[in-house]
Amino acid sequence: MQPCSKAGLPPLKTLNAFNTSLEGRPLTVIAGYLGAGKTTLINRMLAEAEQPFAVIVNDLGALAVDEALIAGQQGATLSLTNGCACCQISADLAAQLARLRQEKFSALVFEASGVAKASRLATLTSQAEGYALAKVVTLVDGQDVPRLLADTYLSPLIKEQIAAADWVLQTKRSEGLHPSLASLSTKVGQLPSSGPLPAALAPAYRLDQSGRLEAGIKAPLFQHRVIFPKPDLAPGVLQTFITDHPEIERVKGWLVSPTDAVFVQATRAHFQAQAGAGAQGQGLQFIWRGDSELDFSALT
Amino acid sequence: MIEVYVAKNIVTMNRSLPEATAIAIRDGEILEVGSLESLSPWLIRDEYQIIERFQDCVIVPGFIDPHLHPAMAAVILPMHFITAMPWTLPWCEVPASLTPHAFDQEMQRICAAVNDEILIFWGHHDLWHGAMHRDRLDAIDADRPIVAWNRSFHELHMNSACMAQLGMTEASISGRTQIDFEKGRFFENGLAFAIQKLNPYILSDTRFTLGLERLKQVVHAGGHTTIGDMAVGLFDFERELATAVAIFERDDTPFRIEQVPHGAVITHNRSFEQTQALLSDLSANSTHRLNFRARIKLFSDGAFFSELAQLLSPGYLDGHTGEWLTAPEVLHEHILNFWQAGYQIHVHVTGDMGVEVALDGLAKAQAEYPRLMHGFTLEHMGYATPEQIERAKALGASVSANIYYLHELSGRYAELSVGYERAATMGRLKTCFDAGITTALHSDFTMAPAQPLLNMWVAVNRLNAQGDQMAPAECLNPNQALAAVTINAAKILGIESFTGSLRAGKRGDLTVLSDNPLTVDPLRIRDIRVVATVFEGRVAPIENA
Repeated sequence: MQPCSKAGLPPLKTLNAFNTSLEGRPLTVIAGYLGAGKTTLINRMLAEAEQPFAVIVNDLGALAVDEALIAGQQGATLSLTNGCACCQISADLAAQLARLRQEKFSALVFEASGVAKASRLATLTSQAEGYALAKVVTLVDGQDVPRLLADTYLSPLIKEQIAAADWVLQTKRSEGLHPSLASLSTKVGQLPSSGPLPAALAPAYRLDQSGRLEAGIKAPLFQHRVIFPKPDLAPGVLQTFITDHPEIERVKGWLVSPTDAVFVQATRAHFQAQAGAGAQGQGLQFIWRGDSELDFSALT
Repeated sequence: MIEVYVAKNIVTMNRSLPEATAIAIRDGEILEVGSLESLSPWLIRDEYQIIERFQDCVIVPGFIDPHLHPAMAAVILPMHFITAMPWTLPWCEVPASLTPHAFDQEMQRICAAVNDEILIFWGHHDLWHGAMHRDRLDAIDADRPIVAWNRSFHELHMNSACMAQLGMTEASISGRTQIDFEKGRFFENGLAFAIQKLNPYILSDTRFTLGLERLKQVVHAGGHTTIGDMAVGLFDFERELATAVAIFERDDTPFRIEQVPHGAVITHNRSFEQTQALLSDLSANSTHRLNFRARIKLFSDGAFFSELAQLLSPGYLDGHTGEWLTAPEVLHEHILNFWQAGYQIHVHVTGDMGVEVALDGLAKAQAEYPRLMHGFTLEHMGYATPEQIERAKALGASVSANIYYLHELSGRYAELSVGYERAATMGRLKTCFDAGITTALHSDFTMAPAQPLLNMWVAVNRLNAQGDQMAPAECLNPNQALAAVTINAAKILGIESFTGSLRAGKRGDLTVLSDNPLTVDPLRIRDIRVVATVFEGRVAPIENA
């Protein structure tokens, strides 16, 4: 079995359809690597909360069972046993969110697993019906951050969690923001180790989402498509098509006629067509730069 | 009563006596593998029967697939397959649909033939079948709900009738990413939304039971006498346990299932002592065909098919990074815990950085508490460097590889994912054999067809779907490939004491083939037919063989 989902690049069409005034219950995602203080923070939020809110804990794979530490009386906790380790067929996040929608909670807080990417959490929670778009708060252990950023296995993840968050809060360091944090994000603050939490951390508080969505969704660098050229398409026609479309970087595949087949390989600098046999149905693969569609009607 | 099977040739995978022509089995146990003549000291002392029905066939040790997922397969198998590669399923022959037109025709044919509440087609692949969209499915049938599920399982399309039946409107979908309402397309994270709506249907008891019954046929048709369920609890531990007993612990099941629990699920909300107590309990309550032992499945990096494998530098062509399924330090802690408790540890690793983290964990465990013959296994191992393979050997690790990645993905990944060098060298199996590592093949069904002969064919020829041979220096010879689906696979599961080769004292697990995979033209290995299996001395013929 293979685990699923990739923090892919959302298509532009859905971006255009994005409605930032989407109504629904507030949803807060608390992200951050192991030991960043996620559970401690959630306990503090529970202790301070004026309205009951629900907590979902995704601690699959963690040895310390965060759920058991969440001691608040203000909310209900649910744990995700399926996490992101598979195709989300059964008791997954979306199903839990749907179930909680029936309950009378004013808001929902989701404690992410320590290895979850922040951008992925934002897209995943955006699937939840009846909830507002999630705000993603990433916690970073200010003492541990130099080690994490130097770790070959972890630094890409930690950087991503910081870069893709709506808000980054440093924990466990009292002598000011660590300089490396400040260089990675402009939205960094300090989580006070005691006393009241910042108002923006109240589960019902909504951040302005629009900035993040624009910044977080990048146009893809390349697109690819397989087309099925019309029979007897001459290699010259394809070559002209490539010349006329400077965004095309690579073409590979077959031109097929009832009697034979031509194998084509092309880059911007190079076009090669040679006779071959027995490859019908393989199609012709295009890779091109940018996010706009290509019109293949001259070929198909 | 002794039953003596005679065959044109018996390939024993027992290096001392590699070939034979007769095998004697009593009460499910092999008495001797040799010739009718050599068997006579047994035959003069007991009643016997000579079975000649396989005399023109070749007998090999019962095939073992040490890594597949029955519960996952049970979800997919009730779907209608329309695929670019031909699939031989026991209840139907799925033709190769190589063009968009062929795909549509096949949808129409199935549409007319069945009356499912929701028609679900599995196997659509852009590369062959062209872009899918809602209008295209509406044109097949505008009134019946239709789903076209992608081959990768990471994407599906629905027609208008299906979206209506599931209560999806433009408004209810608006704002969700990775869903395209116009095209009826749900992918990656958007797929979770679609699955949630489809769940009551695809997970219904009737369909799930049908799926497991079909899996049973698939496993048998592939010639297996043992499979490994390499993550019990993948999606519902209790349900999987209960249904496995109900469906598989029956006299008509011609194979055993070696069950390896999903580490993250089994340790969830339990202390390590509680986990161990539960696992001991499961082992003690194993049934004849369903066995838990001191084995555990852990996870390192993300999925190979979705390009979430963690790569050492240089990474993916497009600069994206893979993912961890378990934080490296947590994985190391799990490894150490189970290591010290004496478990055989299986770690899902797909990329070379995933391999590195798993080997780091093994190295720490070895330094702290040295063990020999521990069976620590790297599972899948899509990308690994030659140096890592040497390190794996030094630490005593084994490899269980999904070589079908190379066939299905290497052509495409060379262009779009990791470049030619890395794509061509995925599944470095010859390097593993040369290093002396115990190396096996698995299907991870339905990631690959559960057909050991097909996976052997890939390992021996290294031809991808485009027909290109990738890194021929990594081709196995047929004997190595056969070892990888028999004796080595038994070692991966820790059951080599009683199955995996043919010798006195092992259980009578045989696979009967139409031809000899060691002597046939290597390009024809996948065309060899499985005629029957013998599970613990009982013949289970394969229909249509």
